[in-house]
Amino acid sequence: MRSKHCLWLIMGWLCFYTCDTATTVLAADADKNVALIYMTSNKQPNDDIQALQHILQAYTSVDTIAIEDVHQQMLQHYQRVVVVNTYSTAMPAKALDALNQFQGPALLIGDNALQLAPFAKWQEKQVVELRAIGEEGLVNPVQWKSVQPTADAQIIEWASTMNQSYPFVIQQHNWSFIGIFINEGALQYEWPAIIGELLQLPRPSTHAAFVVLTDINMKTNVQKLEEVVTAFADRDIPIALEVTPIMMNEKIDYLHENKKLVSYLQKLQKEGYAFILSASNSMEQSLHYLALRKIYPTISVGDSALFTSIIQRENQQLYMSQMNQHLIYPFTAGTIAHTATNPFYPVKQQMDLLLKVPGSVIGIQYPAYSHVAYVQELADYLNRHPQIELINFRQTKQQVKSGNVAIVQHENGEQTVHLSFTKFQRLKILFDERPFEVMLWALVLIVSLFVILFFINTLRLRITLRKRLFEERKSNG
Amino acid sequence: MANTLFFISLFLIWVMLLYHMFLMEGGYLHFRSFEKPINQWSKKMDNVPSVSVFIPAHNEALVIEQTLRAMSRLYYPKDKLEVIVINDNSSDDTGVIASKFAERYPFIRVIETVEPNKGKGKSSALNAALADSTGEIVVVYDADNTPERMAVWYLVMGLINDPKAAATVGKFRVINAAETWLTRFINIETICFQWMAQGGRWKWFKVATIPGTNFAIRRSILEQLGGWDVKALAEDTELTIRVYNLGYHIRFFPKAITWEQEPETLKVWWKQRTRWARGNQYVVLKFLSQFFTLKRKSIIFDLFYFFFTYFLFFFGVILSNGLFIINLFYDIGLTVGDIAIVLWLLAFLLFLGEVMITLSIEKTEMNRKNFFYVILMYFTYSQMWIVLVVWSLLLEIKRMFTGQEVQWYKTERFAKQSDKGADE
Repeated sequence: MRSKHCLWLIMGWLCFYTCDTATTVLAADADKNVALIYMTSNKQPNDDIQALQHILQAYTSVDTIAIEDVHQQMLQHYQRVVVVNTYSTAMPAKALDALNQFQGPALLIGDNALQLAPFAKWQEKQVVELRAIGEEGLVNPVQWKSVQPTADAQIIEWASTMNQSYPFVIQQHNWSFIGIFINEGALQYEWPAIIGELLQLPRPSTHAAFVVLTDINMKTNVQKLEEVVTAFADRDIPIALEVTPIMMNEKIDYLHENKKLVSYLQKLQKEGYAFILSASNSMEQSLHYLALRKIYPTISVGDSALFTSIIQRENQQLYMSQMNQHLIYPFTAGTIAHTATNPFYPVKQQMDLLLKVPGSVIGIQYPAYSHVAYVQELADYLNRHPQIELINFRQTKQQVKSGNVAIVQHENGEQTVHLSFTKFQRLKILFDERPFEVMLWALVLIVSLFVILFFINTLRLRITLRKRLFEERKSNG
Repeated sequence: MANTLFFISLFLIWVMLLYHMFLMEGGYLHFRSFEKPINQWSKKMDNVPSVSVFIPAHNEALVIEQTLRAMSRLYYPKDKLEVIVINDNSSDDTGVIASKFAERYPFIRVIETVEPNKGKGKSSALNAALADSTGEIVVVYDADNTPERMAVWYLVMGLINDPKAAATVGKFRVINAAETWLTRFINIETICFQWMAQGGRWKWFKVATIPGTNFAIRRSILEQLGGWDVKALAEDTELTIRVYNLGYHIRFFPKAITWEQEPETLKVWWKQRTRWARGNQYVVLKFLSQFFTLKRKSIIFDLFYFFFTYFLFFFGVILSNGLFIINLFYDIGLTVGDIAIVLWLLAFLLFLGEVMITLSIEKTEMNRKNFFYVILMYFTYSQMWIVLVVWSLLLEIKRMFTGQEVQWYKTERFAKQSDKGADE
C-alpha cells in the first residue's frame, strides 16, 4: 500500500514537472514574434528568404525555420507567421495542420497557397507574364501563375501584364497572400512597408544613419579634407573616415608619402574620430600600417575576419545585419556624386526612398575630394527629418584583432589598443613599405660609423705624428 | 617620376662616395704600413740599375733652373744616372739654362726634339728621349718639379723589390700652396687624391695610376708598349691601362716625394684641368670597347671607376642639384623627406673627415687655416669641377664628331714669389 502511494506521488510529481517545463518554454519564447517559414527545393534559405528576414528584423525578432521542422506546438510560440514557398509542391502535412490552425496575422508568399485552408476556395488560373506590380514596373517580365480569390478576400495590390491586371497582394481574414517576392528596383523599397502592414507589425519610428568620408588616400588634399571635417564638426554631424593607406596602382602609393595627411589623421584620431579601413591589398597589412602610425581603424570596408564590424559598398541590403559574427553596415544612400551639377541630388533621392522603408539604415558616402558646400545641404536634409538618428562609430562596440593588433572600441567612446610587434617585425614592415628609405638609413648608419672612424684616425694621427715630425725631417735630409 | 630621378641621383652619387670612403680607409692603412719594408728593401740597393730621368720642357725658363738644381742634388750613383732635358721647341731660355747645367754636371744632358715630333706635346717629347737614352729604368719629372733628394732612390727601390711592378709612382706635393686661394685648394686636393685614390687603390686592389711626374718605369716595358700614346691628352692614365693590360702592376710608394708648381690663376687651372678631364674621358672611351677583353680585371674595375667619375657621378650631381632647385619653386612631388637632408649633411661630414685624415698624414697641413679652406672648398672648388667636367665632355663629344685633332696644352708656369719681388 505504501509503495502504491509512492508511485502515485512520483507520477504526480512527473506530471507537474512536465507541465511546468512546457509553461517555461512558452514564456521564454513569447517574445519570438515572427516565424519565417521557408520551403525551398534545396531546403536552404535563399537570397529572397534572407532579404525577407532582414525586412522583418527591422520590425521585430525573427526565427527562420524550414517548413519540414514546423509543427503545431512550435507555432504556438509565435505571434506572426510568414510562409515563403519558392516552388510548387505539397506542403508537409504536419506544417499544413499547424498553419491552418494558426490564429495570428499570417502571410504566404509564392506557390502552394491553395493548399492552405484559408485559400482553399481560391482558383488557380493561367500563367501570365507580369510587367508591373502596382505602380512599379519590373526590370524584366516575370512568369507567374495567377490566382482568383473568393469574393470575401480584400485585394490590396494588383499586378499587371501588358493588358490585364491580376490580384497580387490579397488579404483574407488573418491570412495575407503575396503572389511572388520580387525584390528589385523600386519594389525593394515598397515591400517592407507592405509586409509590415499585412502582419500588423508596429512600425519603427527611426532610421539609423551614418556618414563616411570616403576616398582618403595618399593623394587626398589635406586642406580640402580639413574643410569638410570642420564643416561636419560645426554642424555636430558625427563622421567616420574611410582610409586606404596602401594603394595598389601601377606603383604602390603609401599614405606616409603625404606627411601632412598622416599628421592630420593622427590629430583626428586623438580628437575621437572613427576610422574605417579600406584595403586594396592585404587587410592585415593595411591594418598594421595604420596601427603603427597611431591611427586605429575599427571597421573595415568589405569582408574581413579581423573586424567585427564591416561596411559593405556593393550590397542591396537596406538594413544593418548580423552575419557570421559580423555587424554589417551597408552604404544605402550612395555617394555625393562627383558631377558638376547638383551632386547632392542623387543622394537626396535615395534617402527619400529609404525613409519609406521602415527601420532602414541610411549609409552616406561623402568623398573627401567633394566640395565642402554639400555638407550644408546634407545637414539641412538631416535636420528636416528628425526620425534620422546618426550613428557615432566611436560610441558603438567594435573589435579588431590580428596577430599583432588588438583594438576594442567601447560604447563610452574609449578605445583600447594593444600592439604586439617585435622589433624585427617593425623593421620588416618598414622595409616592405619604404625599402629605399630603410636602405638609405642603413647607408647613413654605415657612413656615420666611417665618419667617426675618420675623426678618430685624424685624432690619432695628430697625436702620433707630432712626435715624429722632427725625426722625419732629419732622415729626409 | 621625381622620386625615381632623385633615387637615381642618390645612387650615382653615393656609389662614388662610398667607394671613396672605402678608398680613404685603405689610404690610411697604406700610410701606416708603407714604410715598414724599407729597411729590408734597402739591402737590395747595393747594385742599383742605371736610370734615365726625362724632363720634357717647353718654354720652362721660369722653373727649369730650380728643377735641375734639385736634379743635381739627387741621391743616386752618378755613374748610373742620366738626366735628360727634352727641350721641345722652346722659344725662351729653357735650352740655355739647361745647357749651363749640362756643362756643370756630366750626368745632365739636353736634347732637342726634331720634326715631325717637334712641339707636338709631352708624349712626343718623352718618346724622343726614350729613343735617345739607355737607362734600364726611366724616371719622368715635369719641368716644374723639385724632387726631394731621395726621390729617385725610393722609386728605384720600389721597382727592384717588386718584380711584378712595371712602374713605381711617388707622391707629389704643391710647392706654391701658400700663394693664392686656388693653390691652397689644389694643395688640399692633391694630398687628398694621393692618399685616397692612389694609396687606397693600391692598398685594396694593387692598382695605382701613373701621374704625369715622379714615377719610374722599366725601359723594357716601355719598349714593349711602344712608348707613349701621342694622341692622348692624359698620356699617363693611358699608359697606366696599357701597363696593367700587360699583366704588371704599378706600385704607389709615397716615400718618393717631389714638389711641383700648381696653377695660381683660375684661367690656367681651367685649361690644365680641362685637359686632364678630356684626357681621362678619352681614355675611358678608348678602352670602353675593350672593357672585358683586358687581361687585368682590377684595371677593368678602375676604368669603370673613371667612367663613373667622369660620366655618371657628375650626371648624378647635376640631376640632384636640378631637382633641388626645381623643387624650391615647384612642387614636383618629392616625397623623400628628412633622409635627404641627413644624407647631404653626412656627405659633407664624410668629405670633411676624409680630407682631415689626409691633411693630418701630411702633418703640418692640418692647421686651422686649412680647416676653414676645406669647408670653403666643398662649396666652391668642388662645385667648379662639375662645370669643368661637363664642359670637357662637350669638347670631347665635339672632337669625336668633328674629328678635330687634339692639341696638347702645356700648363703655364709662375715665377716664384721671391723672383717676382726681385723683378719688381
